[in-house]
Amino acid sequence: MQTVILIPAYNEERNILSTISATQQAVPGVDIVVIDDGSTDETAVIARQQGATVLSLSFNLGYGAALQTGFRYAQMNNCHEVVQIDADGQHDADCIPNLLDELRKADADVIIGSRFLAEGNYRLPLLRLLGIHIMRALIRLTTGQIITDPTSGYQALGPRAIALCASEAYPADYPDADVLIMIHRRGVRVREIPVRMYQSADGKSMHSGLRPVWYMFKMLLSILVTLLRPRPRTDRG
Amino acid sequence: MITTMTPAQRLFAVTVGVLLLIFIIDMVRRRQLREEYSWLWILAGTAILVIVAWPKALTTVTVFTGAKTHTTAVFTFGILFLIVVCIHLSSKLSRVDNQLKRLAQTMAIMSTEEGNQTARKDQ
Repeated sequence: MQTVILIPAYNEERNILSTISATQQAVPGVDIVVIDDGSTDETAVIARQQGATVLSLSFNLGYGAALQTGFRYAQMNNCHEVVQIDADGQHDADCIPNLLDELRKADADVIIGSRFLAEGNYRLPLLRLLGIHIMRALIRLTTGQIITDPTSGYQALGPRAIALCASEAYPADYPDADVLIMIHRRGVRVREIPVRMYQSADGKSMHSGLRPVWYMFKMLLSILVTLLRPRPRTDRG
Repeated sequence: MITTMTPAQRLFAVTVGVLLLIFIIDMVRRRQLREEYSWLWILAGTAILVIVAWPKALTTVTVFTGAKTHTTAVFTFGILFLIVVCIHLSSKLSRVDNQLKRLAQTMAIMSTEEGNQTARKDQ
């Protein structure tokens, strides 16, 4: 296994079929791994029927921990390229080849798909947009790099980044700007390319309700401790 | 002015200290409490008995903290002790949370790997 597409999913029975189908059309023959994050619906069954490998977590661990399960699986199977994509259909799977091409030709180990570099009408709630601006500023301040879409979950990762994301250094709930800062401190290079993103098909978001407030607090604390920690080692499983 | 402990206060403190130590050691004996979680409570019980046996220690602590009475010093250290206990338990909970996450991830991966191996054998 060289390349794998990771799709963390929690109760996504309405979207998982179309997401897997679109991914299979975009990158035929590439292994698709769905990490079923303790879903109580038919997400795992549908994904399995569609030909995806399913990693079923016994209970809901959260987005970051589910994704990390996929990274650990990829690392165990000596996978060199990972693309992570959301299960809810927000990410246009047709952009996967672009992400992989950029990963192969660029001197970067993480390629972020940015919705803000692409043309489109992706609209965000004001609070979330404010959060993204703060994250951009913090990343620029701590790494000197301009990342337009620090909360994008649409990414392609190479071997060094995979090892880092499979390690204990990876945050388990909302891996966003703190991961970018962490991997930058480890010397892993990050690039951005434009990707198309859509609004979630059923309007759900992991950043709905009061979560943005918790998210901001957690992210600021996580960035602070990331900067205070010694540089993470990638050789620790 | 800092007053010394009255006999009633000393009797009450000795009773609380001894009962706390007996209760904690008995819980460890019955394996309802692990040794690593018992040390803070044994420390608290011992501290109470030390204060009763050596009241000047409490007076010294009271003067050191700037408190006007023994009661204030005891309450201050009681609250500090409870804060330490809460932080200790939060730390343990975080560790258990990480271990649980790791276990669930490993189970999910092993289960899939086992399924893949079975499928390969069937072919």
